[in-house]
Amino acid sequence: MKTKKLMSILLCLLFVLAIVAGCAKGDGKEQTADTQDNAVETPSEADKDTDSQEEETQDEEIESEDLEPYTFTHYFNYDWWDIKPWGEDEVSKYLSEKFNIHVEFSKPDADPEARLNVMISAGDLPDSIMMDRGTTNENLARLGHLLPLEPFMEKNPNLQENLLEQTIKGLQIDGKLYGIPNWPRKAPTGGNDAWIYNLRLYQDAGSPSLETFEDLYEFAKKIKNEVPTNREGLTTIPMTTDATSDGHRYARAFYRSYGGVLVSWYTVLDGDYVLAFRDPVFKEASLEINKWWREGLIAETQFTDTSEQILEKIVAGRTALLFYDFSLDETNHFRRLLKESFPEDSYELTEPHVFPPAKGLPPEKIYGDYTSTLGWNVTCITTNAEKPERIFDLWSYLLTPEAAILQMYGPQGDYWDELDEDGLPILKKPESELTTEEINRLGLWFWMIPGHSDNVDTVKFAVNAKLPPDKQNWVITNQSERVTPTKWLTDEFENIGVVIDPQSDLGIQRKLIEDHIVAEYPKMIMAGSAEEAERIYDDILKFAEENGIADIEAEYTKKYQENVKLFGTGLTK
Amino acid sequence: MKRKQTIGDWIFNIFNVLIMLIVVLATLYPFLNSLAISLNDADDTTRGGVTFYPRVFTLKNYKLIFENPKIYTAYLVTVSRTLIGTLLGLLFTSTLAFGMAHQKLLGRRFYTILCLIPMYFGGGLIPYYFLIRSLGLMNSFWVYIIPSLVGIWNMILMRTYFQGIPIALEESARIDGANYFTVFFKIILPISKPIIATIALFIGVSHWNAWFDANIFITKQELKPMQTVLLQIISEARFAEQLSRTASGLGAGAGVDASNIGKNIKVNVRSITMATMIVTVIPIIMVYPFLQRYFIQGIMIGSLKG
Repeated sequence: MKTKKLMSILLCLLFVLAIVAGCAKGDGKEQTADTQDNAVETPSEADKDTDSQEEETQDEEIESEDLEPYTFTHYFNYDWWDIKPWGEDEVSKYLSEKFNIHVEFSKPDADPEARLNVMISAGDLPDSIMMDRGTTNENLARLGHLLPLEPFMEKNPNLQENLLEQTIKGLQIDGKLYGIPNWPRKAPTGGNDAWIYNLRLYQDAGSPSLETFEDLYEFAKKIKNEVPTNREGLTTIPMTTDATSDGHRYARAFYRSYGGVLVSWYTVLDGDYVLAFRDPVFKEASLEINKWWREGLIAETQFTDTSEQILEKIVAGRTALLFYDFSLDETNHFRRLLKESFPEDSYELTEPHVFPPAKGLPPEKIYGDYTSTLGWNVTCITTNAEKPERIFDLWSYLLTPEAAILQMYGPQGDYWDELDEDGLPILKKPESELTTEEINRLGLWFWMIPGHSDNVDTVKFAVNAKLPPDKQNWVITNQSERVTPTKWLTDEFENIGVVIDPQSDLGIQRKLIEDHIVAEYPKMIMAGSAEEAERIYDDILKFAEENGIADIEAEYTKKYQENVKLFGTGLTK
Repeated sequence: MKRKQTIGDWIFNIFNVLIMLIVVLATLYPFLNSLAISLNDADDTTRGGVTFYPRVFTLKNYKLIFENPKIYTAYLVTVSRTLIGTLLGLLFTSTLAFGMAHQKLLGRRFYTILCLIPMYFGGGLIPYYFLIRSLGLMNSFWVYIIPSLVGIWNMILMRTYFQGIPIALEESARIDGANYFTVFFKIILPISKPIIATIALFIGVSHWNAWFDANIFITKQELKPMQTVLLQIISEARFAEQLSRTASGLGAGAGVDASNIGKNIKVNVRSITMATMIVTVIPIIMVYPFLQRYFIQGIMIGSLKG
């Protein structure tokens, strides 16, 4: 008994202590904030100490001329980012001489969100940060941690010159620009997904025409019935696509040939931004996928296979028809590896249309990939930066055409000595002959730093086109000649998802609906009969309607129509 | 007396061995497969079908890991933190456990409660971050050592073990004039090898595997431990893939082109991942057999007398 009493007294004491300590913290909030600020300054001071006397002299001369050496920290908010040290390769050496700047890169090892939260609450933000657009970025700006870029833009016109006005507008948060976009564009170039066929299987099937979507179906059927194995005796797969556990890739590929445009699971119907399931054409395309499935044209393991497992089948020459990102040949080498094993085999894009039209639609009614001018993510300068304009000068320079050449081919005098009459570098040898060591020494990578999509693409395409045909790069040639003409540029689909806060009721409903779609859509594809597929399809729509999709669509449509007013629409076909 | 084996025994034995073999194989196979892939040519791995042994033997994947200059400082950091961390951790944990094992210790219950509270309640990441920062441990090697000096769970295991040692040993030493330190270092520790080996293994493995503290508190590359650097190597290999996936999202082409960014990625992600895994695991596997004897013994003793 006695011990129990003692224990309870002790516990009470402990709680009182805890409460007192807790309150003290609460009262001292401002104080801690102050110490925070001090603490923020201390590391940078400590850094300066370690950075030897150069920095000290820099401090004294800070007022006179601002081309002194300057070191700043740059943070990539991605745990998978590949950091290369600054100043060791030719490209960054050139940049550090040009701007007299040194950059210290860092990134989270894991769990970027937690790391960033800690950094925000501790005030330990880096001088500049590359991160996704969206809620976190907006919050950072609204909390006053980011610097608006307008003052720097007045002195340095790199952004205005290399971005469309609508891009700047589209990137603004509360009317101000906080981020330098990474991979923005002024024109639609490049190319990823396309319909691809295996050359040997195609020949074995009698080289049928692949002009229309119906032709694709006939080809797949022919493979199924007449070419059950490839020349090595492995079973063939009439149709496959990259890993797609929810079937979205099929939806996109088929709907496209039916003339639709799929944005996530949404589309535009009579000017309204609605769930694609409302579109009868989407239903028709979805039921067509089910038909392909029922007839055994789609691999049975399609929805469980990983990218690697699919790649294995592609490389073995077993897949007849693919809806695949052909530019992946530069990274996973699916075509190169196939050709190594079977020199007479190949993967080629369907002729004459990359996206064969269905139901007799004229090919000009088919939408290729849309692409936004805003690019991917943004680089922001934080209020911790001592000389933000210097950071701005560096990052914004990388969007210029000059910097595109620098990033792709290195500085003048190494891999190229002069430009030709079109302003393109005259390379000493084709890019394909560069060794990894040379690429690393020159620093020919883009991922450290912002890049500009069409400045890069334009140069890349033109340089490739000047090579003799046998030296040309398959991916680049197809991108520039076949797929770029199908691409279209629009910002009308930008920033729509963010109008609904994921934590709000509507956000929770949206999550519920989208999770339901992701779970049910593959079931629809794999349904045993057309009736069952239709029933599941209708149930998906019903479920969405019962859970308030109309309210979500209303919010989305409002934002979408604002976008259209601002940027115009590309849906004119 | 030995009983004669019946047919039933024979059948049982055969099945027993067979089932055990299958279990062993099933346990061993993923490891062998990883080893085979890590020693197989990356392009060839893409073609699939590598099982027990490499088809196209190469050391390129390992070369890629060990060519990375970061890996050596990282190994140094990890080895030092494992050695220093284990030694100091053992010292502090066992000293505390020794004290706590004494029934007569004044305020023993209070100390126990004090120890138990942080086992159930944590302050959360951000307060912890502030604590570490105000202690001046940010970007310091000691952030790996000091916060983990005393593991409460380990302390409880040790305390239970110490409590099992007859009190008479200590009392007779005290009568002969030994102070508590002498008793602890000369008498208690030498007869507690099993539990010390066990706890050493616990602490050692956790130091070897740790990466989280480096993620939050260390920004200097030269202080990053091996696990972090190995993760970085995998990230490098996965980079192009990740970038094209993240950037293009659900096909809404944001304009990032895998072909622009991945052109000097030469090694298959799976190969490099497997090689990395082997590099991480091998040292621990090599230490394990030497400690395993104590390990099993120690845990059994602790649990029986606890």
